[in-house]
Parts: sequence; structure tokens; C-alpha cells
Amino acid sequence: MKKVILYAITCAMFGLCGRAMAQYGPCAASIQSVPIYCQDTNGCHGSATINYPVGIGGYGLEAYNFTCCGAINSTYYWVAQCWYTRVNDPDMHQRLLDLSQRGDFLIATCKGAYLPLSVALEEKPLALKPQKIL
Amino acid sequence: MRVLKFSTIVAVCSIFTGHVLYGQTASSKPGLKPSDKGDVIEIDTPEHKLELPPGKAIPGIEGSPIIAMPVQCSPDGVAFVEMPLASDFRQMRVASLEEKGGHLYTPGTVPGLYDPVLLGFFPAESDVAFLFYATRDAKETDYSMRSEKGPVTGKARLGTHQNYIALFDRKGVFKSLIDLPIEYEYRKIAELDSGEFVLLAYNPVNRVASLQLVNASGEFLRPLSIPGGMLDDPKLNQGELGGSTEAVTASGSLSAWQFASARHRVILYKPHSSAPVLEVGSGGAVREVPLAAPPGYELDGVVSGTDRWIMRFRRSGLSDSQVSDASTASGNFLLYETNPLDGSLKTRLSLKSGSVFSLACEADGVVSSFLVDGSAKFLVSSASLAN
Repeated sequence: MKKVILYAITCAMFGLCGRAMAQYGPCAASIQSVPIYCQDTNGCHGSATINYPVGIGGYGLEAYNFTCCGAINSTYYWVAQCWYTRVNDPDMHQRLLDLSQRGDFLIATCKGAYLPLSVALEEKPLALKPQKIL
Repeated sequence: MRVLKFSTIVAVCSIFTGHVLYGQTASSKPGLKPSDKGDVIEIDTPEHKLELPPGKAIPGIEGSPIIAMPVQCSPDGVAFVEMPLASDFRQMRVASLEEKGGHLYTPGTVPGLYDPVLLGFFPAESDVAFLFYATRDAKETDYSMRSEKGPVTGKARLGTHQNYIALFDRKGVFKSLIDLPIEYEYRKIAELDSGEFVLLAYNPVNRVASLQLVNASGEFLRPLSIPGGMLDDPKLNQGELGGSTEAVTASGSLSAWQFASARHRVILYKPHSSAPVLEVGSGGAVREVPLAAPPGYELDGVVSGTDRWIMRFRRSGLSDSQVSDASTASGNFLLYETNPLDGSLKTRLSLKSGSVFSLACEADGVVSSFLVDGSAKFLVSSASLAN
């Protein structure tokens, strides 16, 4: 079972975004929590909560792969616009590094390019600058 | 009746045939008896064993092994179940389980609305209201990403997104679209018998939760008061005082709050907490009701109904991010009828097998349940509650 880390990741990303951008516009994003119930014909009944992002682009980031009567298996990649350009908070920086070890997610630059967070942070720990990747 | 310490009762709560003996924190519930220790009370709760006959297949609808909770119910007792696609949880379908023939709602196909994320829905007598986050801007922008697992490319709509209410008729046909103010992050929707909407939102400027009465055209009528016991929440408090990260967390936490229809009113509740519930009636009249719970359990959900308050409780401490055994045998979830006047436990409702999650609706003292059979058909059955 993969750990559900979407919530923390997205919040962290938004937090950084909030340092560079206004309340509204491209950074308006948050998390939707949905309790689910699943069943199968073998008498299995399960309950869990799934979380996914609500925001522009609307593409999730987290890979859900837990077994609930063998029914839930999904992968998302987060796509957003212009998340942030700098990380000034050392605690936040470390938090993102920790997260990058546990997930496969990307940072959107203000020019529409994306780069893996782990790569970005390792390359320029405290001063990320937008750059065209692809 | 012996008086036991709270912790002892949690460990040894005994189920008798016909009656259930439970301890309960004293709080200030009227009609409940404090112990001589001052912190424990006992209630002798009757048990009603629900005998559900074999279900009848609902024609016209294909079932799903995954159901997003809560099940919502129309005033005439029809269950509406939300079925996420395993390949993309955001793409929800909703099915009405009408005995004569179900209807499938595909709210993501609203004309002129793109990139929709369904946030909530609520069936009323003549329509079903769906709350979305979406955009009217059809323009797609190419994106390409590099990830540790290889390149990812696609198209995304980056235009202005906001909340909308989409109304469908009871046969699943789209009727109309209502724009909601962009200043709020709307999270949940309910519809009163009188036609007004009750909307739960987050105000990202003031960083507070907002409960609003809105007319059928989407125009704001007035704010409704949220009980302090619901707002007393670490995430909401941190959202008010902390940085933007905490504000987003606070806003997201409201997505876990739920609406249910009950006794021709609406209940707003906060799962997995001991907070009171809020009943909203005609014209937005509100009533706060403290809710009792079996010891060691907390509110998980409300079964919508026209006549009774039926609550599902979850064993405290179960993880949200992992799958919990929801079978009746596990004892992780319990069903109780609750007194709507004071929130006290009234009757435990027990099932022989299956899961308490299968209990969908109550209408005039009759409960209905559903399950999905091996041929992906919804089977619905019903049983009477005790008076």
C-alpha cells in the first residue's frame, strides 16, 4: 500500500505559491476529501478516505494504489501554473525535500515548464528560478 | 444496573439480545443519568435487528464496487449513490436507485463547463443539485513534464475556475447552471424543501468557514451561524492564524464536512469528531444539537431520512488513509437511531451480515439498503424500523 501523501504535498506547494502570488488566480487550489465504501461479492467490505486536488488543470499528483476489495488503483500527476520561484523558508525546504523522497511530483515554473521537485531542490536549494525544461 | 468507569465500559460493553448496555460520557444531554463518579452514565439502549429480505435488482443501472459516501436520499426516499471511476476519482457518476428504474447522472458532461471536479450533490423533490469547481474557458494549453518515471505530456485548461451549481431533473437530464461568487471556496451543498440552497464554503480572505443560505438563482440571502463546537477545530484555527499553507489546509478540511437530509430539514455534520450537529430548516432556521456516541466511537455519517435520525458511528482511532474493515462482524462501525430532540442514543440498529454502509435511506420508518451483486447490479431491499 502506497502512502497517501497528496495532502501534504499540495499544501506545501500551495504554501510556497502563496508567498509569491495573490490569493486568487492560478494558485487557487485545495484538497477534496471523499470517504469511500467498497464491497465485493466475497463478503469484503472496506472504508477509506481518498484525497485529490481541486485546482486549475485539475490533474492530481498522488498515486493511490491501495487494495480495497481489489478495486481502487489510480495515479495522478499534478499540473498547475506558476507555483513558485523561491523557497525562503528552510523548514519548508526540508519538508519538500522529505516529500520528494516519497513521491514523484513536479514543480511548474512561471513559463509553463515543469521539473521534478527533487531535482529542483537539489540543484538550487534555496533559490529556484523558472527555467524551461522541455 | 451497575455503574462502571468509562474506560471499563469501553472495554467490556456487552451486547445483549434485545438490549445493548453502553456507557457514555456525561456531557449535558438531557435525560441521561450521571454516575456517582460524575463522568460516566449508563443508558439501556434497545436493539433492533434489521431483517433485510433479498434485494430486488434496479433496472437500467450498472452497479459499482466503489461508492463515495455519503449516500444521499431524495425526500421520497430514493437513494442516490456516487460512483467514482477507479481510473480517475474526480470523474464521478451518480445513480438514483429507483425501484422502477434507475437513472445515471453524469454531471461532468454539463454543456459549456470544462474541467469539472464534483464537490457535492444533493437530491431534492424535483431536481438534483451538483456543486462543481470548473471553468467555462475551453482553451487547452499543452504541457510537458519530466518525471522520474519518464515524460508526461498532455493538455490542461488554465482559464479561470470557480464554483457552479448544476441542476439536473430527476431523470438525469441537465436543466440549468448557476454561477457562484468567486470570492468563496464552496465545499458542500444541500437543498431545503423550500428550494433554497445551503452552502458550506471557506472565505480565503478572512480565513473562516462560511455557511450560507442562497436562493434558487444562486443569490446570497444571509449567513447561517455555525456552532462553536464545529468551528473549534485545530485546522480551522491554524488556518485563521497561520500562513497560506495552513489556510489551504483549513479550506480543504471543510470538504470532509457533510450534509444529510433529515426530517425534511438538513443536517450539517463533521465526521470523526465529537462536535455537535447543526439542523437547518425552512428559511435557514438553525438548531444546534449535541450528539451522543457509543464509548470508543465517533460520528462517521448520517443516514438521510424523512422521519428518523440514524447515525453511523466509527470506532475511534481508525485510520483515514488506510482501508478499514467495514463488515458488520468487525464492529468497526455501528448504527444507531438517535433522538433528534437531544441527540441521545435511542436504538441500536444491527444487521446480521454485510455492512452498515449498505443502509442507504430511511423514509417514513422504513429503511432501504443496497448492495452490488456479482453481475454488477444494484440490489435494493427494505425493512421497517420499530416504532
